[in-house]
Amino acid sequence: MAENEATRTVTVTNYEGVHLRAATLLGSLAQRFDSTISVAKGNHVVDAKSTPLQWLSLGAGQGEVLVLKAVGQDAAEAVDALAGMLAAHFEETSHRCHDDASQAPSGEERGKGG
Amino acid sequence: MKFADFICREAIRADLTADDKEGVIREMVQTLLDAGKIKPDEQESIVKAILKREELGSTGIGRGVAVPHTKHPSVDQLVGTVAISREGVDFHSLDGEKVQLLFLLISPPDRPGDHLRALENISRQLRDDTFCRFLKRSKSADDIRQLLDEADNNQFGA
Repeated sequence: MAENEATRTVTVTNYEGVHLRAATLLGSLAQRFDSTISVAKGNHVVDAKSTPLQWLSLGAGQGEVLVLKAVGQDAAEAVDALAGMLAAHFEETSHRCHDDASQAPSGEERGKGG
Repeated sequence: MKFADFICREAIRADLTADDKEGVIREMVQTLLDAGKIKPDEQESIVKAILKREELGSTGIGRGVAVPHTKHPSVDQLVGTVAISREGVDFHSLDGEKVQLLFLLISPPDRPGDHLRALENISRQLRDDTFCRFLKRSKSADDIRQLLDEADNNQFGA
């Protein structure tokens, strides 16, 4: 079967960026997909399905751009899910996070498993 | 950001004696108190905040490493320390392994970027197996200090 490839460019919008809990949630979510998934900040590319260390090593703060790339049968679903989780702000409770953080239930729901 | 920018050298320990998660966290916070990095009347509040963060999900990120941390308004800059537990402690880590290597971070609530840069540095260095292995085998605080200095000087594959 031909492999699919999906790429999505996302901006980190939550106040605290991709912190440790976020990295753990994103890594756990990525592991649910069969596709090979990478995430890049500039030239720094890491395996999105490995340990949280990989996501943390990006040092992705608010406003920074990440490129998600998946290759495999569920590539499109994988990048959609990860982009959704990033957009949902990891249930961040910081007073400085955007008000819309709590209004993105789909991504938050996915995050429960982490 | 380099280790030297946030790790308090005087607080580094190669011989944690506590044998459980709360115990090692308390021991590490005590080292920061002894080093004058936190205020005595904030110590318990900081410990509680770190334990509360652990309830959200373990900071044991696998490979025998944990990064217990919290935001706390009593610090005006990021402070951290490193410690080794020879026996290892159960940290409810992602991979179920005991934790030997701990980085503890306390950051001002309004400086999330500094916290991320510290995590970025720690994680980039720990991706190097040699650095990770040497650090866990450190026999003394001086050994740890030397390894952190070498990492800061790009002597490992980060």
